Amino acid sequence: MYLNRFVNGEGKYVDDIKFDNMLYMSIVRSPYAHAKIKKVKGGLNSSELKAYYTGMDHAMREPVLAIDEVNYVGQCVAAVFSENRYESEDLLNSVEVDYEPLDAVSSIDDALKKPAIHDGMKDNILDTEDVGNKFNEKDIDYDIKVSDTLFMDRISANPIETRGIIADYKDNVLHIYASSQSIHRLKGGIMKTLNLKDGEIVVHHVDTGGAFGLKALIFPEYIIAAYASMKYKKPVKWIETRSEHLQAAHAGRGVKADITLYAKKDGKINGLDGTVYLDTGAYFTDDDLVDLGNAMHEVTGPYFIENAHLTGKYVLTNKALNGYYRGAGKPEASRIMERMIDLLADKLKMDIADIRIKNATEKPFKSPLGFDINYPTKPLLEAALKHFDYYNLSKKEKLGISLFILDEDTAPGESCRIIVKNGKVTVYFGGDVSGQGHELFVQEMLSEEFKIDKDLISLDYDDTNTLKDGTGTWGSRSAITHGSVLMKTAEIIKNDVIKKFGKYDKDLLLNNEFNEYYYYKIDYNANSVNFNMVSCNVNDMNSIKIYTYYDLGKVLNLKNVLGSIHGGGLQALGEALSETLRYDEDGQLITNNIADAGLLTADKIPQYNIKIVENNSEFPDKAKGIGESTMIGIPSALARSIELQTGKRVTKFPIDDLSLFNKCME
Amino acid sequence: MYPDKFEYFTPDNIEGLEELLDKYKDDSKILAGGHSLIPLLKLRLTSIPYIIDISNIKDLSFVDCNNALEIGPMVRTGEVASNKIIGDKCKLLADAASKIADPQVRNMGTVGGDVCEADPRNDLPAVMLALNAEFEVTNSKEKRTVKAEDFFKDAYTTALESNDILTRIVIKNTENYYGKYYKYTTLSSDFAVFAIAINMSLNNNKTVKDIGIGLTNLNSTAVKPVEVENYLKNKKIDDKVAGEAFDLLLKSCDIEDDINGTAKNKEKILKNIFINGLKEIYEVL
Repeated sequence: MYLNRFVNGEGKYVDDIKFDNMLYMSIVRSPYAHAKIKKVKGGLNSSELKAYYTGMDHAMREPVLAIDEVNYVGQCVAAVFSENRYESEDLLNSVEVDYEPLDAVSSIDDALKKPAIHDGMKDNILDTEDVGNKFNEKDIDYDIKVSDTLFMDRISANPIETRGIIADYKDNVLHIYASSQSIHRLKGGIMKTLNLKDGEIVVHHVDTGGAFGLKALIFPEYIIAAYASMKYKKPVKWIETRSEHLQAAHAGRGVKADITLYAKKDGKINGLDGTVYLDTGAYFTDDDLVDLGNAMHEVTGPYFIENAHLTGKYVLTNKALNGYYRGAGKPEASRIMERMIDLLADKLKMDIADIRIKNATEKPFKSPLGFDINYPTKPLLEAALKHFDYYNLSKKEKLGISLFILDEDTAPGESCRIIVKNGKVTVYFGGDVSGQGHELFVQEMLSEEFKIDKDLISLDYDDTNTLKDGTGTWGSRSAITHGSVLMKTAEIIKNDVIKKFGKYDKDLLLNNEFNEYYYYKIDYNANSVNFNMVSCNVNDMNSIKIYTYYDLGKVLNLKNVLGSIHGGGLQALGEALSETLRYDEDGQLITNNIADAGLLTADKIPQYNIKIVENNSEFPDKAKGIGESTMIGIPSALARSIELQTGKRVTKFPIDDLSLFNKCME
Repeated sequence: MYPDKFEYFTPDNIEGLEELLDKYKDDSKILAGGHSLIPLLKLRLTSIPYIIDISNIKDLSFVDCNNALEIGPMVRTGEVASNKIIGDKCKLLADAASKIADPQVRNMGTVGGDVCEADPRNDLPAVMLALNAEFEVTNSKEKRTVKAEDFFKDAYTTALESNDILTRIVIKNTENYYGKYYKYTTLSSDFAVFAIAINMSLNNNKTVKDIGIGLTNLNSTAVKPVEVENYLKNKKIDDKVAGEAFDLLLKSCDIEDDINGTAKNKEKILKNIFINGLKEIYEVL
């Protein structure tokens, strides 16, 4: 089958692509978290290439190559090139850089206390933003107030395939081959930075070995490679090493929150306020706005809380930049709420399910923080509790639960092309595939729609010329956006057959040629209601059991769904228990190799009890999202199960306690 | 992997190896299984102009048992874990080898490489200390025997000179011994946060006749807490004795706060493992 080529080692990733006369690029990176650059001699440096790569022209954006100062370990200072990768690594030593080290800021707390890391700023707060309506606690009806501070440490995407790019400038056109979630976004970013016109650049979609949000972004290394290819008139390849990835790839989470809930004795929450901080790293990036935006707007989640107000602070530190990581603000928001509601339940001596039922809703609603909830939340919660027999099971097992809204990032829609030729059907999506197995649902849906054999259908890759427009694969959108545009385009092809022959049958389709492109527009972000429950015995890692009650609308392909839950469940455990990027006081990365990075391997896959409910969505394929659900629902529920046993409230992620889950090898 | 440039040799006999070592001295290094050396080269944490791969030297790969258990340094870790003679004669060594990394690493890593690299996180140095192993060391001029307790000097530093080759590991304490390797890891890594190797035999009256202990990653190199061994000899093991032994054991440890947790937390876990381990082995005997 189509997917077997990955298992058989026949995938063709960026690093598998080779061109004649290709140059390899290696990057001279800052060894300091904060330093003045007194001199750079050699390599391609900012004396030649002075550019910025963010979409917004923010004053604190990162230069592609450091100018006069470095602000994190791993920042690009210069680039060297050779026809031999080994030699390009050797050439790193030929670049002379004189640094004058400065004091570094390596955490949010540090940043709030210490002087500004950037000249011209009065402190390390890059920006402040308010959401919701400010309220005075005297004006709201409450009996009890609970406050706490929660912290989710930084985490790296760590896809199996690290970042990588080939830039090949020929015949006045820059060809880009990149491991990416969105070639269209990459095209736009490179055009803006290097001042290219449409027609001067084509970005090609190639096999992508995992992305997790990171590869929706544009990076300085990509710009340097593109510039170098135009300069040397040769293909230039850059493939990130794992050490570079841990050091310099934009990292996710890094969120701290001081939160207060105001509630009645019966558990009804009437107010929520506080401050949410995002560790932006050393410079502004466009993704900061999405991450902290989601982390604030979605805090109240499935619960109707009449008064809510949050202040968001974008905090600069001497660390690699902030980026997307599976969930991008949504897990942060949910974890803040779920950890706080558990605390409130404990203070009121209420059951954690009862207090959630009390605050869940019978109707769709708009939260005061500006989050439109499309479905009532109480019916799903009650159905899930009943399905898993929560009230009886909670007498026997230490259960944590989590009710959450999955924001599916459906806007602005997606594009698709279907080509029928030589008896075969080939599909192209504008939003790139990064290893999730889109080909599975493509085959399943089209074989049903066209009444043809699955083997005749394949998903192929586009470039920015063959598909003029497209969005991307991120959030929890593909089932809805890609699935729906696929159905719409298939309908158009079927109509073509009917128009031509007066009727549809599969032979009329396969014996002729058709070629249709469609962009299915969606102008809002849909969402769904989901539930997780977790039990464990803190002395045994293999005891962890994850219960999922997800409303997926129509399931397009069960293998896709189970793959997302099984893999995502393990990834969520990693984030909850061990996976992180840890820095010392000088901003040096301590977890600087994959053995120390805390990733869990397949032997830690937990037990699953999976219930899928299929309440159809409003979209053409009737699907709902799943991609980020495990990351949102599982860590907070696991934290609850653990704290019930240790008696120590969990407020920090990863929990990272050596004494948990007895690890003496047997 | 993008290491610095090096020249690569694969001699197929010990004489050839000796010649190369004499010629290149400190600029050379022996590559056995490579599972400690290659990561260091890969990360460019070290640069070695002449690398001598000894996997073609058949004379370095053997397991014999006459009066003592004798093991060639090139025996792969996976073989150490599954070899019948080693399993019969030395439970501790087989147990420890089975707890090293994963099958792929065990299929390449070697007993000699693990010992000679002397990474404080390597498992077999502590095991050799607990077993009171002796190492036959050969160079172009002489053959000599070095006891395990004189072998490990510091992190990555052993009694071997640049022209020395570990040619044989000899373990005499095999009859009537039972031992086990208590290895504590994190959830995400196979490296020991710390580990304790214990090898024990009993007198007829159920007192300890002999005991060997080795500690992994509790100091700058593997440590043999001789004071604890001496204290336990001729005693019956119970909670009180084990607890007092642990207080002595701490004198051999240098436990610091690190990425794995606070010193206090680690000490608590270590105590639990040591006392339970001592009792478990005592019960089996």
